[in-house]
Amino acid sequence: MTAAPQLLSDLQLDALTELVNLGVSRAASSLREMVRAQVHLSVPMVTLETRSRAIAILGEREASNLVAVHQVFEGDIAGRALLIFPETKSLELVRAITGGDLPLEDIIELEQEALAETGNILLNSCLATIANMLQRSLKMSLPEVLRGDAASFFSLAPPPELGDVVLFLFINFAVRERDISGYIAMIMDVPSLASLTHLLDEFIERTTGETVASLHDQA
Amino acid sequence: MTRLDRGKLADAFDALDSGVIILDSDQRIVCWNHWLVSASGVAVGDALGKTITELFPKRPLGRLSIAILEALELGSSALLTYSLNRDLFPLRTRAGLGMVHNVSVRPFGVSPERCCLLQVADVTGAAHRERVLRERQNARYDAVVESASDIIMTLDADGIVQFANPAAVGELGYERSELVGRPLGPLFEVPEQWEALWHAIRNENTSLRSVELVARRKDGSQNFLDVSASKWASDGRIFVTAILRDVNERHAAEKALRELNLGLEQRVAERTQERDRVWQVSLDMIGVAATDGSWISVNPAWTQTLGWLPAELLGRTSDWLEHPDDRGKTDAAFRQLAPQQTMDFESSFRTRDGAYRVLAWTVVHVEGQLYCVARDITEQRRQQEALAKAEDALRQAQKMEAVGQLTGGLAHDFNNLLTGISGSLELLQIRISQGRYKDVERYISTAQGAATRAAALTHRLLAFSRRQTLDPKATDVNRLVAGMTDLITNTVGPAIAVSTQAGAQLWTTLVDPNQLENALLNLCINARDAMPDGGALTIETANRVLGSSEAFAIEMRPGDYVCLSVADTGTGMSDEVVKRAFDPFYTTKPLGQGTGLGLSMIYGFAKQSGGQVRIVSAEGRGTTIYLFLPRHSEREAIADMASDFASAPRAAAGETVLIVDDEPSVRMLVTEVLGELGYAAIEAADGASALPVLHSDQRIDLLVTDVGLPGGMNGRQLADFGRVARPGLKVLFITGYAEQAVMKIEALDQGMAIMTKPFAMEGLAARVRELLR
Repeated sequence: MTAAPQLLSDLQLDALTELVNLGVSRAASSLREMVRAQVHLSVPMVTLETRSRAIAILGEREASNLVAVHQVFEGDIAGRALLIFPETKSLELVRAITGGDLPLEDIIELEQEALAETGNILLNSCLATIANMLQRSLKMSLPEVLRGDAASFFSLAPPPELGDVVLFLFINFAVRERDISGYIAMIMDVPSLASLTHLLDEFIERTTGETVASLHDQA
Repeated sequence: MTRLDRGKLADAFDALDSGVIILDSDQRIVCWNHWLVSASGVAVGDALGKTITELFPKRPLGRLSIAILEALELGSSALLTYSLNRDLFPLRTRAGLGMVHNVSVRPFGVSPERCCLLQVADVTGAAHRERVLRERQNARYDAVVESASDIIMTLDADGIVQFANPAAVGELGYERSELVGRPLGPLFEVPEQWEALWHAIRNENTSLRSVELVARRKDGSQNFLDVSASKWASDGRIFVTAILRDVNERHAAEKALRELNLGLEQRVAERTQERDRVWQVSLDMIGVAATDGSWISVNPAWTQTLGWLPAELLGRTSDWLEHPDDRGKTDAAFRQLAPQQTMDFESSFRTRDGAYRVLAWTVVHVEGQLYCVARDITEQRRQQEALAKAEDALRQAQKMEAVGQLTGGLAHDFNNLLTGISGSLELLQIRISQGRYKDVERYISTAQGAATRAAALTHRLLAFSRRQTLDPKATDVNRLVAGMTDLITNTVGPAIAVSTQAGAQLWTTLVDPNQLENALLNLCINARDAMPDGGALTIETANRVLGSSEAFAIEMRPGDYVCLSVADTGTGMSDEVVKRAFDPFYTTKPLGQGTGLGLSMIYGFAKQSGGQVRIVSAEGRGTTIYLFLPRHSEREAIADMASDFASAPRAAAGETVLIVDDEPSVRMLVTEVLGELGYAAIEAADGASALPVLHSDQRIDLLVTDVGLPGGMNGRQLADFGRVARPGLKVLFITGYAEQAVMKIEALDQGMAIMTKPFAMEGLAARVRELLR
């Protein structure tokens, strides 16, 4: 495994983390609306990894099977977004979201849809917030639930022509006294990453009123 | 699509089997298709130009509003499913039922002209199907799980409780929400036990056997649970359902049973110890043997009694221990003992020091084994033998005493007789010396009378000893009684009136007439003695036919009998005396006045003759004694009794007699008498000296021999040898008594006769003449 390439500067990653946190707080309010309970979402860390490294990271951290909500996004940046949980946590997530004392069998049946919708909310919020802040528009597909392991999630057909990177977000849910950790992964091809880098620089310039280069110099 | 004009596009929307709503950038409805008109009841005209919130103000549309806003502003798509967004719109199916629906939110166009497309999908059928399936499943599931008395919990692959049934809440005391979503381990007293079980379940494919774990209720109390769990998979996901059965009752019962068992074991141990103690301390030999007689176990008493060690006894039968006289006895007893049977027997076992112990065995056969108890009765047996010896000695002493009494009685009788004989002889001597021959004849007859009575006395003794030689003949009892009347009258004296009543047509009987005379005389003398002051004596004869019951009453065979009775008017006898009247030596007379043998001898004679004696008596009312004698078919042969020795037939010329007797006086007397009769006589003292004579050419017409001879050959054997040499040899046996084995009257061959000592000389002469005629 090769070391993760420094594709994004620390400043860019910081900016991205901030954007993502804005997105998930928006998602939290959507979820709060839906589940009628306190929902806290936070993204403590964002990393940019190669695909193989992303697979390795997930393989190391999660032993069991995984479940993912998958959406495709298109626009200035294009790729796939995945909300990933260990399979064992997904029921907990659904139970947290549905609340009450639903029988396990009901939860299992609801899991697919509830997960799809929950993932949809989260991914929409993140992606849309990022796109909005970057003043670009993205088209997003409807959600789809996948089960499997990291390798299968990160190798969905068709493969990108020019290689890809994985923007890896660690996400924590706190719903109804339950804490559930998961991941958001955005798989982008290299041109999209370049666009993102560029857009991030624009965003930083707009926010700080300084050029990225000068900020880099300051750092 | 682009080729369609607006009208056709609108028609297509209206033809869709799902709802289509298009919102402009201000979220105002610009399209409301026919399907929605039908499902919501809101006409196109009422919908257009309004926002969704305006159209359905009471609906919880927060999530939808956000999704619409995001779609318009950010271009995101959203799916609102019925599962998380119940009854988003108030829609009904064609049938009027509530419609279950999903809504998707999609943006199209480019900002700021971006629009939002809402698609409403009817999933009532699918939802209904799902619900029916779920309800059906839940009904089954509920029936089992919800009402189960066992705790049923489902855990996910991480061991987190996802489900807990009501029993779990009841049994553990926690609320459902306190159980679900948490790991199970902390509920148990020893969480490691659960962890181990969990690990086993997670790694095994088969369900494991239940394990008993102790859980703690919320209130801290112990709860014994039988935990079984099995793994299952749903949609690729692993679950474990655990069933925790309340075994507190079982646990309590087991505990009680354990305590009970403990008590029982103790009791069994005590009982066993008691039994063992009996086994150990018993003085009797106790053993268990197989049915083949080999010993399986023996108690210590064996060693104490016999000296053999268990190791020497076990696995072997008892044959080697047994006394040679008892060899195989134990084995035989064991073999013939059937199951459940008990047997007693005795056998002697050898001790280690070579002595023998007599053992009384009790053996019982139970379930293929022989349980044996043997008591050492050696000492007891020894005492019994000593007792038997003492009894013998006593009997002997009694016999000697009886003999003394008898001898005393005999001495008295003989003294009387001898006084008569010797007195007569003395007087005879005096008269002869004085030359007074006139009274000689009287003295001679007195002496002869006394000698005859002495002979009769010995006959009586022999009759008593049952060694009397009877010489039965057909006898006319009436004639015999008539012949004795004078004698009886003289004997009883003038104070007693004697009368006879002879039965008419009296049957003949087969008896020894001499013995019958003796018996009659005896009875008359007894009668006389019973009437010291005089009385009446009645002698009666009669024919008696005894039926079976009558005969049985007097211990006789049924049949015809001649009955001779002697009745007196004397003192009579008590029942006690009557009972003992026939006992030998029993007498009411003073010592020395009688032998006490009288009635006993009569009894012996009557029994020997096939008859019976009965006494009818009462004190003060006299006594009648009945003598029953069997009827005989033959008439009495009136013998031409040559009673006069002088007129006895003389021998033919040269007739020779061989006389064998160890008693010289008898030999001499017989020789004298035969010589008087003209016979030549050859004498021999025993068989050895007689045989050469018999084998010689010497003329011998008659062998007269004593039966009892010294030197190993008796008279009978001598006669047999004599007949070998001289077939047809005439033989006359003379005997003091006839040895039963040697001499039987019926066994005498032709040409043989027997005479009992003492005998009158003329009787001898007559017998000899009879044989040689």
